[in-house]
Amino acid sequence: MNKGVAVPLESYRLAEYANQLPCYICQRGNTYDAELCRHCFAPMALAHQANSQKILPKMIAAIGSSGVGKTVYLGMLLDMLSRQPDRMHAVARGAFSITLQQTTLGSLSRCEFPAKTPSEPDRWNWVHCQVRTPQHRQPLELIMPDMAGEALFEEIEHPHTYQVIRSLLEKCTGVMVLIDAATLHGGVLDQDYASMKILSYLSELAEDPKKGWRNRPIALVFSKADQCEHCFDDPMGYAQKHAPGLWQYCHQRFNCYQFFAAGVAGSCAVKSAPGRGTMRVPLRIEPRGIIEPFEWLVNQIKQ
Amino acid sequence: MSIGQAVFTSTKTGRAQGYQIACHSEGISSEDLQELSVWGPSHDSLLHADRGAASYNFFPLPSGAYCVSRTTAQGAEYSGRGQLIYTHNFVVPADDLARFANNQFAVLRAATATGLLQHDEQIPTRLDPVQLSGRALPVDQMLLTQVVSKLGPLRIATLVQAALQSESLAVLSECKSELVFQALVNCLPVRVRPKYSFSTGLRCSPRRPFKLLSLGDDQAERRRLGRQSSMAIIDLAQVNTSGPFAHPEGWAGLVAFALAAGKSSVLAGPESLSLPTTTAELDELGNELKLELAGATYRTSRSASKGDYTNPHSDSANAHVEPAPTFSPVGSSAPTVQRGDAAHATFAGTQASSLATSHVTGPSASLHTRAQSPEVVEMLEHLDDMVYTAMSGDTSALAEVEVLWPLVLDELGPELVDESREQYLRFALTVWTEFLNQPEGTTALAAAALDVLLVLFGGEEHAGH
Repeated sequence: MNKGVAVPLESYRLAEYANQLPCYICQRGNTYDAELCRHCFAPMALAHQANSQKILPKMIAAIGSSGVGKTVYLGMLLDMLSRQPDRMHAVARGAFSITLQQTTLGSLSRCEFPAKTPSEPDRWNWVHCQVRTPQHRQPLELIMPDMAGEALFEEIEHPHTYQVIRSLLEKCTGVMVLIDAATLHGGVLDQDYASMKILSYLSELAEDPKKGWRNRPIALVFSKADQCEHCFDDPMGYAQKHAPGLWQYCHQRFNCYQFFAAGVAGSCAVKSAPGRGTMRVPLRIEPRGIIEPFEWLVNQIKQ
Repeated sequence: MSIGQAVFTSTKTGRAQGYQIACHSEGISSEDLQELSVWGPSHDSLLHADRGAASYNFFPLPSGAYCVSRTTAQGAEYSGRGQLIYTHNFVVPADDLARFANNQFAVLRAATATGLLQHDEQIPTRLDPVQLSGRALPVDQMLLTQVVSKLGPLRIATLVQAALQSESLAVLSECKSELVFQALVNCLPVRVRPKYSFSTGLRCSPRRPFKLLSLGDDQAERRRLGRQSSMAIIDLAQVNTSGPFAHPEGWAGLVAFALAAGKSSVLAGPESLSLPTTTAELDELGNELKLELAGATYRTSRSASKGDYTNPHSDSANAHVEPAPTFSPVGSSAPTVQRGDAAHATFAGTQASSLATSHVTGPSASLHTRAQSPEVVEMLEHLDDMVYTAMSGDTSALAEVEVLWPLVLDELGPELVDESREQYLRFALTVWTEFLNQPEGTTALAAAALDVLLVLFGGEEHAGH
């Protein structure tokens, strides 16, 4: 007696390519086995993970100009959230989500700041994590990319240059805008203008009065505040005094915003390395004000 | 027309900080500048980050011009975070590129000669459009000779075939990538060259969709590229005569044939080549040219054998026959074939003692009998390599012998050729003796030796094909 065996047609394997899998960031179709979205170059792992969950992840962006400290801030934030369950706890989803904190803390442990984030979106670190807070029963699924500052400003100056940035910021439920407090403290207003450009771009991105950025939470974080201690005392006052354009713009255009101050390195020094020129190095790691902006943002999203 | 310049690097300007177009000359359109920004390599974009490492890049621009650029690692980035990646772009109008035979490396050489690519400690604040004088030959035959000596005609032909048939191709080679890509460019028809964007040393990125890339040492990166369905990867070291690429056809077949025969000028392609040209049309053209080339080689050898060779006014005497290029046997640094040993006993008493042992050390005895010019010595050494390799069973070497033998006959004359032929016959007899004594395992060698003898002694009917 012959036993019947079910053998799948080889050609059926090709049929799977007929079903397009939308990218979670730009919503455009890709093949099921694509590693990166062919349109915006975001990792397709985010789409696969989102498809397997009941709760769709929300997106938060940490943005700012080049060298403002986005990588250090995000890496330190994730590391702290993963280690202290009492206040707020974050659990990474997917091995790729741990790369950012691993890279950042690894560099800091060697008394170095992490390397510059490349402009190419396919080389950015993405984080997908589940955040639990004592106040809320339901966890929050979050996606946060570590973007390059040059890419953001290239998109601002020439819209649609970086589709991933545009799509991400259109869909973000909240944003952390990092501003270099040390530069502002020196009297240079570059950071003031840069942050105004960012906020102007956001406000024009989604102009819907109800769903637009006018009503979405914006955390304005003065980074490197360890170099100007009084920023911690009154971040709002610091903004009013040292970044008047930014302060005024927020006051007029946005309904939900707050200023914060954060610092990671307790103090820095300048080191001269052969072939690498002079570079700032952290003398000690003393995180301050890292979790507060994120905590505020999460609470705003939950409301 | 003038050539525009633009520098893409990391700097702090009043407008922005980080990687950006730091300065540019007038006359470059905003769309082209935008495209330069999109393709501009930022932090850690070079495959090899040694100081002095460089990547040569080429891609089209929206205006119809082309960007030919050089990316280098130059010191420290202004914020102290890693090396500074510095890209000097030249916006070359199509007409100017055509003046250099659409050879991007010729443009870069001209720019270097003019001092435009000199390393400056400071990022320039002002750039002017430039005029690059000069021209370039359609095919750089000296360069091809150099690369053929390192890689061999088969690997270069395989590279050409892979480039023509792949949507995008990553190349792994022990040779310097600039050299490999220069050879590839020279093996493509002139009018087709601008179609192939390339980078000799940048990391693969979807924002820089180069058609041709060099593969670095990073194994994780290689695996990642291997997972991309649109990216083909070729390892030139794996190309050999026993693999699937042993018999290139179409345009690649012409490349193999022309490089082996030293007729690389034909690779420039006809000026009347219409654009756009599909790969199938190019392959058809390659087959036609190969037949013409093979026929011309045959006719040249026929004229020489008719005795007109000594007549200085004869066509054959004046025919320009390029000397056979010097290159190593395909797939190996040296042929692993047993060289001719002492004369077979049958023939031991029929030749001068000086000839009986001269071939033990390798080169034909004819090399020692009279002073030869270096080109002739080179040609005979190469013929020796090919014949002995063919007798070891290498079919591609046999194909080369079929092409090379008539050329050598034409170049050196029957007297010198007869001496070499005698050496080869002696060696073939050694192989056959071994076969007769021990048929197992030596049948293929005996057959190969016979095939070679048919070419060498087959007469005019067999020459040239």
